[in-house]
Amino acid sequence: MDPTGPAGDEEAKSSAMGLNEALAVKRALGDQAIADDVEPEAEFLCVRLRDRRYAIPIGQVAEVLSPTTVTRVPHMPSHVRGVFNRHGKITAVLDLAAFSAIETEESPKRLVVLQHDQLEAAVPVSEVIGLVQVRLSQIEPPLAHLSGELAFVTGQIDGDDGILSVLDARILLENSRVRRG
Amino acid sequence: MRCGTWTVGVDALSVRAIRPPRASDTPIDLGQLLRVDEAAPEMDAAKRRIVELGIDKSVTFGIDGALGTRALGLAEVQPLSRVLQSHGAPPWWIGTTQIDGELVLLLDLSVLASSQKSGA
Repeated sequence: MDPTGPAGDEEAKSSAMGLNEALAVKRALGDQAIADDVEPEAEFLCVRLRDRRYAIPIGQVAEVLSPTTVTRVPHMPSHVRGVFNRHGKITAVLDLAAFSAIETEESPKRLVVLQHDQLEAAVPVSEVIGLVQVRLSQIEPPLAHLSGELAFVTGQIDGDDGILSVLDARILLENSRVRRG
Repeated sequence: MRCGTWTVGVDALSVRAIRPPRASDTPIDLGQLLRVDEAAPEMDAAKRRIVELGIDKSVTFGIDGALGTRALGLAEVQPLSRVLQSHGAPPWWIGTTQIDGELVLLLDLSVLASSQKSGA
């Protein structure tokens, strides 16, 4: 699936592992004591899907994987792209593009495994941008068209490179009615 | 059992008989029901079989080959994840297992028979 070939695969794996290690360290650190005079911050993994950019709370990211073979399964809605074997566990792949009226990413560069409680699923993305720390006051209500379209977009961050939609994995994983209305 | 491109497992206790087809059969074709690709795979007609259920005798299923029985330990069976359930998985898809690296769908044929009769 990765068009960059074997060399690109190695680079992708190496990059993904580095990010996974970073995620593990961040989770281990947890909510360290914040000085009284420092505004609370939250940390997000930023990803791009086509022209949309999403910020996922770091605690809701289990792992970032290189693309793997996804098996399509029958009688599922279009946003369920299939399943794959993740460490011996059959894991669903949910396609955010199907909710967002954007074209499906046929050659995703990464699979981001989301987690909440005991629930897990992966979302294919065009690119993992990286980790970003955001002051809570920077998070605003989502754009009207996004809040109308997608229940799992719970906020937005107006960054230097444009708008980041804050994705709540809990809503995406738990709720079949991820489209509002 | 082989159903189109899929290998499918069902509870052996729910099956009354697996037999060659008869002209009078009007089965639900499991291979067709489970198809995810446009192209229908070529199947060996000689291996075609009809599955009769133990409880509901009014419904039969057409399969593309009977592969035999296999005992599965509980640890080998993965119930359908809550994510797939909440995202619209059909009620008759109850889990998965893997045999020789191949994903095997575990189905409840009684529920499938009911849903087909009710048109769900």
